[in-house]
Amino acid sequence: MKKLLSVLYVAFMCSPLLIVIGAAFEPQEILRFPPHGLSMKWFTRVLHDQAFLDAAYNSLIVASLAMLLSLLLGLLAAYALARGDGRSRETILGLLLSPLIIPELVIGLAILQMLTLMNIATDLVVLVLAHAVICLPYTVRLLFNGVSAINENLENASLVLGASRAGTIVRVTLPLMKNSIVAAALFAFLISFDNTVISLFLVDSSTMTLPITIYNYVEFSLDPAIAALSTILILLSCAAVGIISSVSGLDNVGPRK
Amino acid sequence: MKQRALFLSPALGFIALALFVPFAYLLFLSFMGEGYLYGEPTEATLDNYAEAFRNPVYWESIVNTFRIGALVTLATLVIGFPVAYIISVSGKTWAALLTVVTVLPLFVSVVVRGFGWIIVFGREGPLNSLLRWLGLIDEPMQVLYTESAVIIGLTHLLLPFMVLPVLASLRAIDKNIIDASMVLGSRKWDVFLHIIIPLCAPGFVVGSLLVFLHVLATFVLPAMLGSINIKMIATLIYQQVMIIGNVPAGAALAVILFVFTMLVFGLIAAIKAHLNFDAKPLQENEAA
Amino acid sequence: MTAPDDYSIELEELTLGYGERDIITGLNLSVRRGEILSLLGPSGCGKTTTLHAIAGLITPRKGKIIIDGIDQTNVPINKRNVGMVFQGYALFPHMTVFNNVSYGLRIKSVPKDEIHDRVTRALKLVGMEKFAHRKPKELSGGQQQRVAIARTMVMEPRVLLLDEPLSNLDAKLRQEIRDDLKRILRELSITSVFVTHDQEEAMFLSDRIVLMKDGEIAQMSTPRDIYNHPANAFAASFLGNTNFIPAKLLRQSADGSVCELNVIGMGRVMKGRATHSVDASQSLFLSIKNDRVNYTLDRLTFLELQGRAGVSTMECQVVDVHFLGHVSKIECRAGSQSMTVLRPSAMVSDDVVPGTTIYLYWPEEESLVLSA
Repeated sequence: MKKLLSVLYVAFMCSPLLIVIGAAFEPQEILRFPPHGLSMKWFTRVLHDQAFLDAAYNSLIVASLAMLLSLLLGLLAAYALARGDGRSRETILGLLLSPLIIPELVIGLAILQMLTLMNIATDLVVLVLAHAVICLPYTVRLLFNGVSAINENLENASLVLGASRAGTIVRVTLPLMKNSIVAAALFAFLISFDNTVISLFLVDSSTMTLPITIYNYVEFSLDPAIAALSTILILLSCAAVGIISSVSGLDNVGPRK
Repeated sequence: MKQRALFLSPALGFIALALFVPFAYLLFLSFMGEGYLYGEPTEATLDNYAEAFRNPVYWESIVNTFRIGALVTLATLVIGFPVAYIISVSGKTWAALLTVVTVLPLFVSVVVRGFGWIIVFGREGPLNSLLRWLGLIDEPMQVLYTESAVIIGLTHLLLPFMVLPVLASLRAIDKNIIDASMVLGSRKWDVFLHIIIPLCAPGFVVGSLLVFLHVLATFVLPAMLGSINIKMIATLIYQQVMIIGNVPAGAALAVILFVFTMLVFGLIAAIKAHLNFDAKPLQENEAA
Repeated sequence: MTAPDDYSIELEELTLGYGERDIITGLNLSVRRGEILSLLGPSGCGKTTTLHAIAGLITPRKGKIIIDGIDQTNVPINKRNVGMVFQGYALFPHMTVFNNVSYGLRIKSVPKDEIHDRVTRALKLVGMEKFAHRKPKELSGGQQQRVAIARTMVMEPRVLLLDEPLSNLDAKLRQEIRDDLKRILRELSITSVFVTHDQEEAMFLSDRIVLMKDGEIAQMSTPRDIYNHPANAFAASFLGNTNFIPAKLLRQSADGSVCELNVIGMGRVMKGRATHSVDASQSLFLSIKNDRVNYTLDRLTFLELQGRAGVSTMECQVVDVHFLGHVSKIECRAGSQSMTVLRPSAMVSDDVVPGTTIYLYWPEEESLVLSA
C-alpha cells in the first residue's frame, strides 16, 4: 500500500517535468506527450534563437552578480551574528530574513514604484539588486549555520597566534566552511535565475530574462521550442540540486520552519 | 567582536534601502488618490482600502482567492500527510528518493512547471488521453483555463510547503513515546490516532498556513493555467498597476495582502510557541 | 622580597564579566617568572574567565593586566604575544602539523628558511618532528597536545596559558600525558598558567595553586601548603579528603593558635589548632583528614586514650566499609555526625563490619580549625 502511494506521489510530482522533457523531442510543431518520434531540432532551434540567447545571457549575468552580492553581504552579516555578542540577534536575523515572508508581488511592486519615483530606468543592475534582496535570506541563513558549526576556539587560536580578524576569516573560517558557501551560492544563483514575479514587474525588452521570455512566449504560442528550453533549465536545476545535496544535504531547504 | 557593527551594516543597509524604504513609499502611495502619479493634486484618503470591500470586482477576487486557498490547503493536507508519514517510516533510500522528488520542483522555475501542466491539460494532452483510454470520458475535457487546472497546479506547486513541516513534526516525535505506548497495550491504530496525529498538529498548522499564504500571493501559475477567467488577488493587483495604471489602488491591495501575511506569520509563531510538546525535564531549580 | 621584575604576570584589581553579571571583582594576582601556576576550582568559579582575560579574549571592565612589566589591558589579542593552548587543542584541521606550527610565523612574513628551522626545532622539542606532514585527525590526543604546545612555543611567547590541558582525555591517557606535560613545561622554563578543576592534576603539575571560588581567591600557595594548612573548609574539602565537625569557638589561646570548641550537637568540648585567622562569630569546623584518623575496636584502649592529653577521641557506629585496593574506607556515625576513616587495607581487620562500635582517635594538633 505504502509502495503504491509512494509511486503515485513520485509520478504526480515528476509528471509535469517529465512531460515537458518528453514534449521537447517531438519532431512536429505540436505540443504533445508522448512525442511521436524523437527529434533534436527544437533544441537546435532554441540554441540558435537570438532572443532566447540574449535572455539566457541576461539571466546568467544577473544570477551570477546577485549571487555574488548576496553572498558577500550575507557572509559578513552571518559572521557578525554568529561571532559577535548576541545583542538583538533575533531582531537582526528577523530583519535580514524578512524578504522570505513578504509576498514577492509586494516586493516587486514596491521596488518598481520606487524606481519610477527616482526616475531610474530598469537595467540589469536594478535587476541584480532586486534579486539580491530575495537571495539574501537564503545566504544569511545557510552561512550563519556554516559559521556557527566551526569551533570558535580555532579562530581564537589564530588570533592569539597573531592573525587579524580578517586574516583569521580568510585563513581559517572560510576554508572550513566551503560546503556552506557552495550551497549558499547555488541557492542564490537558482533563486535569481528562476525568478519570475519580481522580474515581471521590472524587466523590459532590453533586460529580458529567461523565465519571462518563456512566460510571454507561452501566452501567444505553444510549440516544442519552449519545451526544449524548459528541458535545459530542468537539467540545470537537477545538476544544482545534486551538487547541493552532496555538499551539504537537503535539510536546510524549504520553507522557514 | 569589535567589528560587529561594521560587518552588519552592509546587509542591513542594503535591506533597508532596497526593501524597507520602497515598501514605506508603497504604503504612502496607498493613501493617495488615483491620479497622484499623474500629477493631480490629492490628499490622503482611505478610499483605496475601502474599495477592497466595496467594489464587487475586488471582493469577488478576494473571496475567490480565499476559496481556492482553502481547497488547495485541503488537497495538500490530504496528499501531504500520508506522504510525510511514509517518508518518516521508510528506509534510508526510499525516504531520500521521496524527499528529493518533493524538493526538486522547488528548484525549477514556476514558469517551467506551469508550462508542464499546460501540456498535461491540453485537449490532446496526456490527461485527456489517459481519461479517454480509461473510458471515463468520450470527448476531451476543457481542463485548461478552468479553476480545476489552477487548483491542481497550485497543489503540485505547494505540496513541499506542507510535506516538509509535517515531516519535521513527525521526525521530532520521540520514538520512545510510541514504544512506551505499545508496551502499555495500545494498538497501532490507537497510537496513530491519539499520539502521532496530535503531536504532528504543529506541522499541520504551519503547513496549512504556509500553503494558504502562498495561494493568496500567487500570481504566475493562475495566470498561466487560468488566464483571465480565474480572478485572484495577485492578478488583480498586477492588472491595477501594470494595465489600468491605478497604482494607489494596487498599492492598497498589496498592503492589505502584506498585513494579512504578517498576521498569519505571527499566528504561526504563536502556535509554535504554545504547542511546545518538547518533554524535556525541568532543571533541578526550575521545578517547584 | 621579590622585585616587580620577577613577576611575569600581574593582575591588579581585575573585574571581569559577561552581560550583566560580574564574574570576578577586584582580583589581585602575581605570577612569578618561570613558575607553573594553576587556577583551580569548581565550574563557575571564574578560572577560565581569568585565563581568557590574560590572553586578551575578554576585555576587563576594570583593573589592569601587566605582562613582563607592560600594561596589556587594552592591547588586542593578536598583539600580546602570549601563547595559549586551548581545550581540545584547536589544531587547524585543514592544515598539516607543519603548517599548524608555522602559522604564526607565516602571518609575520618570516622568511621561509627561518620558518623551516624554527618549526623543526619546535617539533623536535616536543618529539613530533616525524609527524610534520600528518593532519591533526591522524594524531592521538597526546600528540595533538604536543603539536599545540609547539605551535605556541615557536612564537617565543612571554607566557604560556593552558585551558584544561588534560580534561578531554580518558583516565589512563591522562596519566601518561600529564607526565609528558610536566617534563616539557620544566624544560621550557617559561611562566605557565593553566586552568583545571582536577585537584590531583593541579597538585602534580603546579609550583603554586590558586584556589578559586565564586570569583575570588580562596587560597594561593604551594600544593603541600594548601593540603596541610588549608585556609578554610572549602580549601580543605577541595584539596584532600577531610572530615568536618561543626563547632563554635569557646576559648582561644593568647597567640590564637590553640582553640577550644564547643562541638555542636554533641555537647562536648574538643581542641584544635588554627593556622589561619578564625572568625569567632561564624560557624566553624574542626577538621581532620580522613587518613589521619586511627581507630580501635577495644573499649579498654579507648578509655585509656580518652584520658591521655593531646588526643581527640570519638565513639561511633560503623555504617559501611569499602575496599578500594591499597586503602579501605570506613564510614561511621556518631549521632548526626558522619566520619570517614581511610586506612591501609592491611590494617583493617575483618571485625570491622556495619553495626560495630568503633572508637576513633587522632592527635589534637592535627585537627585544624577552619572557617567555612
